[in-house]
Amino acid sequence: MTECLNEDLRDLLPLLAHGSLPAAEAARLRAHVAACAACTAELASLESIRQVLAARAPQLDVSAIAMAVTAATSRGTPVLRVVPGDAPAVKPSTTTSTVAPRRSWVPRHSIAAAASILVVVSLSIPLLRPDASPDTAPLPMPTVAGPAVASPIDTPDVTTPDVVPAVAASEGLVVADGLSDLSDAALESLLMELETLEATVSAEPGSLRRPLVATPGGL
Amino acid sequence: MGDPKSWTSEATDAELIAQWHGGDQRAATALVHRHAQALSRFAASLGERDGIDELVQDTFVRAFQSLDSFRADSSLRTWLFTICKRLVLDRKRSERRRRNQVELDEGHAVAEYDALDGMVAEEAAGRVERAVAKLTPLQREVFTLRVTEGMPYGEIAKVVESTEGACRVHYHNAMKLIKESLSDD
Repeated sequence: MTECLNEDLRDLLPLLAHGSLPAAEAARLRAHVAACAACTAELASLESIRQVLAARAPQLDVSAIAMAVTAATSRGTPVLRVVPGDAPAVKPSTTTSTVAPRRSWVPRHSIAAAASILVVVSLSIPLLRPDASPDTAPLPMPTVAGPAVASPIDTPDVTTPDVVPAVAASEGLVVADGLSDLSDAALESLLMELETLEATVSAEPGSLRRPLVATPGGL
Repeated sequence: MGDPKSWTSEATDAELIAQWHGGDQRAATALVHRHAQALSRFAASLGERDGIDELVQDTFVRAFQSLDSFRADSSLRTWLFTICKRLVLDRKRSERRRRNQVELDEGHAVAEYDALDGMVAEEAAGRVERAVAKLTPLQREVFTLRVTEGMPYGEIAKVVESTEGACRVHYHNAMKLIKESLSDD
C-alpha cells in the first residue's frame, strides 16, 4: 500500500494514537483518516505497536517509589546542585553546591618552589664539601634570579645573560651555577629527583620565604 | 487537602513543583504518580530489563535533588527522560567495567536488545518487537518517544540531543523500516 502524500497529517498520526492532540486537531485528522486507506492502515499499525511497546515496560509499584522518593528528598537532606540549564549529572554521591570543589592536584607554585630548592641544594653540594678545592669548584657562571615561587612556565631561560643584572636587586632565590655545566648523567639524575619530588610536595615550605644565596665561596 | 491523586490531578507540573518548593511533599508524590510509568516505558525502550523500578526511583531522586536547576524551557517529562537516559548509560558503563569490557557502544546495545526479543511469547507482539529491534538505537529511541509518549519533535530532540528536523527524519525512517519488516514476516 502506498503512503499518504499528506506528510504533515501523516506525521501527526502517532500523536493521534497517543491521544495527545488537541480535540479540534484530532477531529480534523480523524476526518482525513476516515477517507484515507493508507492513513487508516498506518494508524492501526501505530496503535498496535504502541500497545506492544507499552506492555513491554514493567508495571511499577508507583506508590512505593513515591514513598522512597519523598523520603530521600525530604528537605534537610544534602542536595545535589548542577550547572543551570543542563540535566543533572549522574554521580553516586550527593553534595551541596556550597562545598568548594576539592583540588587533588598539587598547586603549581608549590612544585616550582620545591623544584627550585632541589636545584639549589643539588648545585650547592660540591660547594659545601670541606675538601672542595679550587680545581673542583665550579667556575663562576652567570647567575639567575627569579621569584621563589615562580611557575616553571614563567622561569626565564637560565642560560640567558640578560637576567644577570637582576641578581643584585633581587631578594629571591639565587642559583650560583648553570645547568649547562651538568653532565648528562647528572642532569638525568636531577630530573628523576624532580619527578619524585613532584609527587610528594604538599605544601609550600616556609624556608622559601627567606632568600637563599649560594656562591662559589660557600654559604 | 485529601488524597494527592484527587487534588493534584488538575494541577500542572509547574504548579506541583511550586508546591513542592513550598514544602508540600504530596506534590512530589503526585509528580511520581504522573510520570513513573512513562519513565518505565522509556527505560524499556533503551533496552533496560532489570531493576527498572530502581531506575525510575533514582531518576526522581536525582530530579528532585536538582529541581532548582530545572528550567521550564522543556517539559518536566522531557527533563526526567534526559536524567533517566544518563542513568541508563551510567549503568551500562558500570556493567562494562565489571566485565572488563570496553566503553558502551551502540553495537552492544543492539545485541542485548536482540537477544531479549526471542523471549516474546505472543506472535503478533513478537513481530512488532523484532521489527523495532531492527532499528538503530537512535531510531528506536525517537520512534518510541513519538509513538508511546506522543512527544513533539522539539522535545524528543532535547532527550536524544539532536535537532528537530533530524528527529523527524529518524521517525519516518523508523516507520518505513517497521512497515517493511512487518510485511516481510
